[in-house]
Amino acid sequence: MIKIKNLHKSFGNKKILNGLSLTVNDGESVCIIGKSGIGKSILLKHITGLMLPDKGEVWLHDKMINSLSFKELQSIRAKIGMVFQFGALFDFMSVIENLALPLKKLTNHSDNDIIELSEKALEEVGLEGVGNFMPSELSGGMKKRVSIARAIVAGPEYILYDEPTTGLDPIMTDSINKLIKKIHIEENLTSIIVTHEMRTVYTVADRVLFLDDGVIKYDGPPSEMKNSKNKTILQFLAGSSSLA
Amino acid sequence: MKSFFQYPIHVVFNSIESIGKYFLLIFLALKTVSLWKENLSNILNQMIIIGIKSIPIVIFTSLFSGMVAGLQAAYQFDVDTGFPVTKEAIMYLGSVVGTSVVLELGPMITALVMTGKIGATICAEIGTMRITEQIDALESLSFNPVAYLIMPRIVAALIMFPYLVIISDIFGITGGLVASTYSYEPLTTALFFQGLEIYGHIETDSIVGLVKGIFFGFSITSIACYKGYYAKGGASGVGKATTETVVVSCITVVILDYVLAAILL
Repeated sequence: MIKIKNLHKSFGNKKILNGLSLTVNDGESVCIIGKSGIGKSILLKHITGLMLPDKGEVWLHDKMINSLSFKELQSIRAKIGMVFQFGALFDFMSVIENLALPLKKLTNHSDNDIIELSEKALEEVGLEGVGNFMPSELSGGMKKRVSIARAIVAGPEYILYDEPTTGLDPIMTDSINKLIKKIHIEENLTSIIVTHEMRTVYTVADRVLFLDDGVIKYDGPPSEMKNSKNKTILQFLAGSSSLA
Repeated sequence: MKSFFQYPIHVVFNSIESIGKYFLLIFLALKTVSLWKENLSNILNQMIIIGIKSIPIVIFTSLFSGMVAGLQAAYQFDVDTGFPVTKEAIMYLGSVVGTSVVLELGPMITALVMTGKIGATICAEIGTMRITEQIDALESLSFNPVAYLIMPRIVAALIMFPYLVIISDIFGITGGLVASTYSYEPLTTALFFQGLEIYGHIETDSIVGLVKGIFFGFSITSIACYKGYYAKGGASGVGKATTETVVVSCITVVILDYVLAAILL
C-alpha cells in the first residue's frame, strides 16, 4: 500500500504540492490526471524517493520513504518499477543491456538466466528481436515499450508510469494502454499512471485522482468524473481552454 | 538600482554554494571507492576512454610542443654573444629542453588537451543523462549514480593521467631533440642526452611532472563530473555546463600548476 500524508513541495516561491494526501491500495490501478506543470510527475518522484518533501510523509508498506537511509531506499526501490516520460533508456547500452542492468543489480541470476529473462520481458511487450538495437535506433513507441519492459523485468510490486503515451499516435497510444492493462493484470501489480490522456484513464484505471492547486480535487471511478461539480475537472474532460 | 547592488552578492553566494556542492559531490564519490569491485567494468571502460583512446592526440600535441621548445631554445643559443661557444654550453641545451618538457610542457599540454577532449566529453555525457532523466532512472533501479558514473571516471583519470604524462614526456623530448639538433648544428644527439644527464635532474623532475599529472587529472574529471551532474535547462544547459567545464578546468590547471611548482620545486 502507498500512503501519502499532507505532502508539501515548493520550488522557490512556487508551491507545487500543498498538503496532498492519498492512499493507493495493493493491486489497484490508479490514474493521476491534471493540468501540465501541476506536480503529477513530482508526486511520482516523491513515491520513489527521487525527491524529498518539504513537509509530509510518503509511506510504502510500513516504511516511510522520506526518512530512509540511502541503503534502505535502495532496497525499497527494488520493489518499484518506474517508466519515465521519454523512456530514459541508457543510450550507451543496447536494449538487452538496458534490461539486464536491473537484473544484475537486484537479483542473483546467472548471466544466461539474465539474458533469457530480458528476452522474455521484451517478448511480453511485443518487441522480440530488438535486443541488440541501440535506443537511438528505436521509434518513440518502441522506446516506451522497452522502458516498460525494463521496469517489470526484475519483478516489482509497484509500477509507476510518467505520461506513458505522450508523443505517440492514437494507434500506438491504444497499444500502450492495452499493454499497461495486460501487465497490471498478469503481473498482479499496483499501478500508478500519470497521464493527460482520458483514453488511458478509461482503459486502465480502477480509480482516478484529479490533481489541482497542489491537492487531490477528485478521487473516484473514471465513470463518475463527469458528474463532478468542479469546473476545472469538467474543463479537463471537455478538453476546453474555457468553460461557459 | 537594487539589482545592481544585489548582483555581486548573488554571485558570491552562488559561488560559495557551488564550491560546497562540488566538495560534497567529490566527497561522496571518494566514499564510494570501496565499491570499486562492483564497478570494475565501468572503471576499465573509462580507463580505455580516458587513457588508451587519448594516446594519439597526446603524442601528436607533445611531439609538436617539444619541437617548438627545442626550436626556440636552439634559436636563443644560436645568438652570437661574442663569447666562445663551449661544449658545456651546447650540452646545456639538452638539459633546458628536457627539463622544460618533463617539468612543464608534458603535464601542462596533456592537461589542456584532456580538458578539451575528456572534460568536455564527461560533462556532456553526464549532463545529457541528467536532463533526459537517465540519472533518475539509474537511481530508481537502486543504483548509486555517484558510484556508477562519477567514481569510475575519477579513478580512471587518477590511474591513466600519469601514463599519459610519461608518454607526453617521451614524445616531447623526442620532438625537442629532433628540432634542436636540426636547427642548431653544434648540438648532436649524444650531446643533447649528455647535457640532460649532467645538468638536468630528470628523475626528480619527472616525479614532479607525474604528481602534477595526477592533480590535473583529478581536477579535470571532478569538475567535468560536477558540472554534468548538476546540469539543467535542456540542451542549452548541457552546452553551457560543457563550456564552463573547459573554462574552469583550464583556470584550475594553471593555478594548480603554479601552486604545485612552488611546493615541489
